[in-house]
Amino acid sequence: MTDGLARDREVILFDNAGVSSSSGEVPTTFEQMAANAIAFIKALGPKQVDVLGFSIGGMVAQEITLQAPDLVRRLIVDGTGPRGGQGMESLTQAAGRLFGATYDPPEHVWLAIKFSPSAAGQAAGREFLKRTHLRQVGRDPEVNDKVSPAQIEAMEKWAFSERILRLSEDNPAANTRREWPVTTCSRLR
Amino acid sequence: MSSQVLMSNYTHQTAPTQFVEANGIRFAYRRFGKTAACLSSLTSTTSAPWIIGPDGDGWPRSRP
Repeated sequence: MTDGLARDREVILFDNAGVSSSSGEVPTTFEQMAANAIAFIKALGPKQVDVLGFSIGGMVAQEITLQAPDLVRRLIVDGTGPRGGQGMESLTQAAGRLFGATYDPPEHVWLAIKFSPSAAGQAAGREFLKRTHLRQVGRDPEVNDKVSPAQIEAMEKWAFSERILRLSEDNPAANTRREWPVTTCSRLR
Repeated sequence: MSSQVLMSNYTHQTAPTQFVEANGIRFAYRRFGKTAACLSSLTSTTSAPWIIGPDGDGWPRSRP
């Protein structure tokens, strides 16, 4: 997917703080993860960027937009949901059940998380797993044991937050393209 | 100002991992695709998407 995007624009991928090749600790809130991401973007120099976030990346992307609206030209989120939004608690429970199961090999967790149980869905998932092995040189190392607990804690705080995140109310400028509200994760719905 | 548009030879699979320091954190990142020759041309028409997590996912890669 990213090579398709790269035909018309530059694409920059990064590990946020504490994840894989990046130093530091994974914060336990998406607000703090967003603050780190903003520092990263500003360190690289662009005045404005389009932010694309998948899953919890989409939650970080929403917080980036709230904290630095002038930095974000467009916000694109996929497979994610709004802070404190309807259904987010059940998403957390479903995610806990899926991530808590045992998979052999472990990477088959993604067949359960990202793809439907149908034969076609699982076949697409196996093709996805093959693609994740294509990179031979300079692969990201596996994340350490501290990453998942911090991300899950952030997820729970996000899901049960009493303050529903509404970009249009908190930040009218961020909602001009009517890309809000997002739907919750399609696989888990 | 005219801006020369360049296409890097890198792809998702080949872009090298680079590092930049911010907030006391050493951030790992990769960049590839069509880019402008001068930084000042990184305006709204050529701004880049930012995607969380180089190897393809935003969820924890190891199970809880």
